[in-house]
Amino acid sequence: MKSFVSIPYSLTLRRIYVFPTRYGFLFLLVLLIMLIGSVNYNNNLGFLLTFLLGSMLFVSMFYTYNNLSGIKFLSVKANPVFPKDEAVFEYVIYAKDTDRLSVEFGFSEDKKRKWDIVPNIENRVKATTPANMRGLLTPGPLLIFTSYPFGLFRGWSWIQFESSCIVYPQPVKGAFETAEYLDSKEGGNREGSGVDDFCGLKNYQQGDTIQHISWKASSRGQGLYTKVFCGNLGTSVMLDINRLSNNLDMEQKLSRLCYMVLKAHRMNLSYGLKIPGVNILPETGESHKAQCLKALALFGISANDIK
Amino acid sequence: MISNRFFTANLETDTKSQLIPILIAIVIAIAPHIVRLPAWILICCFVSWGYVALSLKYRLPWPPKWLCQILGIIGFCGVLATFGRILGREASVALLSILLAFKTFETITYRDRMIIIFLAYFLVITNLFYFETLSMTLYMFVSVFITTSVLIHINYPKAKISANLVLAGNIMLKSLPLMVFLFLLFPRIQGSLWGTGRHAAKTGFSDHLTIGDISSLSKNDEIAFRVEFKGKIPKGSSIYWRGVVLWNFDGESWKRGLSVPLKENFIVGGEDTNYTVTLEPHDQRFLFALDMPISIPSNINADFFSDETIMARFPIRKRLKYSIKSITVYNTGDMKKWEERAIHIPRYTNPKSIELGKKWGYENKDKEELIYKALNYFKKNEFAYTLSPPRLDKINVIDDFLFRTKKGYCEHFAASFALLMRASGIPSRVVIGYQGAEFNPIGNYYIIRQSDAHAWVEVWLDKKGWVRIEPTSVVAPERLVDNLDSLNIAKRGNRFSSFSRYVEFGWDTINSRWNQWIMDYTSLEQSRIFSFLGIKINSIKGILRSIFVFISLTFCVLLPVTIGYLYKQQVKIDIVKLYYDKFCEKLYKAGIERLPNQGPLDYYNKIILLKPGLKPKAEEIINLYIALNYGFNRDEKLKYKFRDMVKRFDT
Repeated sequence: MKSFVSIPYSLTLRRIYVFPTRYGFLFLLVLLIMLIGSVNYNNNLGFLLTFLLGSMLFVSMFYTYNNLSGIKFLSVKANPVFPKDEAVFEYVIYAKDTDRLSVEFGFSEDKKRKWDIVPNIENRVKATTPANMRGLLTPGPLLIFTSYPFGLFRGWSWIQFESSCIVYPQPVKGAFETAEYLDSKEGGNREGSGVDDFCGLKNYQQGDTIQHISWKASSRGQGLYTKVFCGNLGTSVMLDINRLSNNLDMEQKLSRLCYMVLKAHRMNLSYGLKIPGVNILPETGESHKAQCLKALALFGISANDIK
Repeated sequence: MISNRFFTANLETDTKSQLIPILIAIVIAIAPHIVRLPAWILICCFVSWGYVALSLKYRLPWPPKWLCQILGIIGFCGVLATFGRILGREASVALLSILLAFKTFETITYRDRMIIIFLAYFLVITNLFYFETLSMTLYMFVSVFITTSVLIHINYPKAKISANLVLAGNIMLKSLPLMVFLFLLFPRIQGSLWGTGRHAAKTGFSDHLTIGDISSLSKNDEIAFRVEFKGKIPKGSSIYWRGVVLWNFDGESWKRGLSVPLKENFIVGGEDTNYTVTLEPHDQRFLFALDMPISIPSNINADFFSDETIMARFPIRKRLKYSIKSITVYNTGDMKKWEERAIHIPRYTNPKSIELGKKWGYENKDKEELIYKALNYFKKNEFAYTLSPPRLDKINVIDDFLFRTKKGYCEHFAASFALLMRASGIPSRVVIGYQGAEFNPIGNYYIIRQSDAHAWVEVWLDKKGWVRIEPTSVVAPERLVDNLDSLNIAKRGNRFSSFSRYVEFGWDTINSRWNQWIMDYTSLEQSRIFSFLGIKINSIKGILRSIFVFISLTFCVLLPVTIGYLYKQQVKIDIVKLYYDKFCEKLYKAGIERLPNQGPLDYYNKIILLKPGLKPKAEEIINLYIALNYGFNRDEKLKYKFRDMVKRFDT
């Protein structure tokens, strides 16, 4: 396997391969026939044309090479995804001085997409690969491919970047089993009750669920308000892995927890997460959700793999 | 499957922008063939291309694939029926055209488009087997330029047309040096691989003379040959280019006859005239020389015959350049035994003419007087010079001309005059060749055109030998050019002003130089280049050696160019990385290793932790490295500053 390279990275001679495409070979065959004809008829114009086309083929090889050479990868990032989704890796690409037209990026020959790289600005190029399993997805090497300008030569490079994408567990529907947050003054298990009772409005804070925004209020021009439901008023719940049935294996448990995190977030509950080695205090908001899901995603994955 | 060949919105947007350029490229490539292709092929081509073009606009359905294939097979059979074969120049061009006609209906996929472009390139090269002129070459470059732009367009349809044209032009320009290199040094062979089967279509010249079978002579301005004189230029009135001597008259035509012996001793005469002839291919064996040649070209396998004609051993199918020597004042000496055939008269034909000649011979004892009288006969009897003479009776052509029509051109006068001479007892023969020459002041050479073709008579006189007699001049003195002043437009007058004459001369000069330097570049010229490099191509070994030299030279030229180019690119990109690595290497030696994934800032922290003394310098270098590598600073000077800093850096 190719070794990993770190970003920023410039494509250089060492990594770029150039070879005729099948049309390139066909063209060479056409040239060979032209050459034989010219030799046979001793036709100088035939020689001239054959050599002109041959030289153009040769020169075009450099154009193909140039189209890749010097492409610089400044950064790569991938937003976390759920399994069965496509993990999207976004590369920030910079090229000096000249256009790099019709450059294809992808993690496999048949999944590459064409992009035009504009010189001297940051270009954002996306490549996708399916996310299958919970954990840290490290895509295969990235194929950078071009057959510009004639389609007779293909220039390509396989680069294995140090990049990964977090894949959350697959949410699995099930009972919303929570443990009450121990610091909470109020006792009792409020599971499944009261979460839908509307209690009032509070000022919108970043991170509040969009579904809970009171559009009625905002349409009156009073600003953004979030509807507060009684069930979570002053209540914090703890999503604890130990509460789940022991019949489930670890992956199934993580999937159930994932579902509960999503549901708790949807309901705007203040929730915490407790899995072996991780204890996240109750909180609300998008970044909190992301933190919980990440903890679930990376559970049991060695720290070495996480950058 | 058939349904998706009909128009859909998708097909339209995708195909429309590509089809029109493809059609343009094809039409440009096929244009020079139009005059030569059979009409039915042209109709096929333009009907299908027209249909394709219209279908884009009016959303007409395309024929299904099976129909295209059937049409293709019918076209193939049509070519076979028209030409009787599939190989060969005409047939293969026709086949290519038919292929292109129906292939346009299969331009939906990228693959089809690429193949169509290759076919277009092929069509361009087939043009070159018909025309070897400079204008065709220029046309070829234009055609390649357009086809290449379309090729780029197919591969990158988003670009503007102008951008494609610029790119195609750029690539073409950059490939010219390599093209010249290959053209000069690619090993050429003499002869051909499997035979050319090639015949020059046009001949302005034939080896016999039959009057009356063509009712009009078209004025053909094509160039027959060009001549460059070395030293003294002969007087205009003596510019006769000797081609073939016709000895035998069979009552209908004058023919060369067989068994003219080879020349043994050369005639003596006046001053030498040295000149070089560049003969256009005429598919015949005779070489033209100024009356009278006294040497044969050294570079050609040719024979010098006793009637002062020169024949190559092979038909001239390529432009041929030869140097030769002539004298314009000469005496061919005594009559040889074999030359007695010059008195032979065919029996039972042209009785009136023969009777007239016999009568003259009976009446005049002095031969020169007789000739004078005979020439006067044409003048007195209202003979007229015309390029469109009336048809003549097949059996007694000379009689018919002399006593009925009295209208003709040089061939009529020469043929009948020679017969009259023979009848009167004077040995005579007909010479065909060219008369006159047109000076090109720009190129400093003379042009002889097909329209200068001429026929004259030679008679044998005591003590003088063979003497040229010009019966045509009696009737049409203006037919013969007396001086070689190019701007004397009497002959080809009323066509040009002197300015356009100059333009024409300039163009002909360029053509002539082009022919000389490019078109006539052969294994011979190449062997000179190789011998300059110390290699003699006169054996298999030599040829192998030349191939070896060619290949090694190619490598010697291409490899450094390639490597140099790539290296330059590399340096451009990598100078920062290169010196950052050097920087790290220096620190590594000092015991501060950069971990494979350690970023510059992280590394910097490590440096100052381990060796605080390096802080100011390391900070400067790391900061500049970050700016150069992660930022958009494109200042080349900063890169060199970085390089120098690293060079100076010392642990």
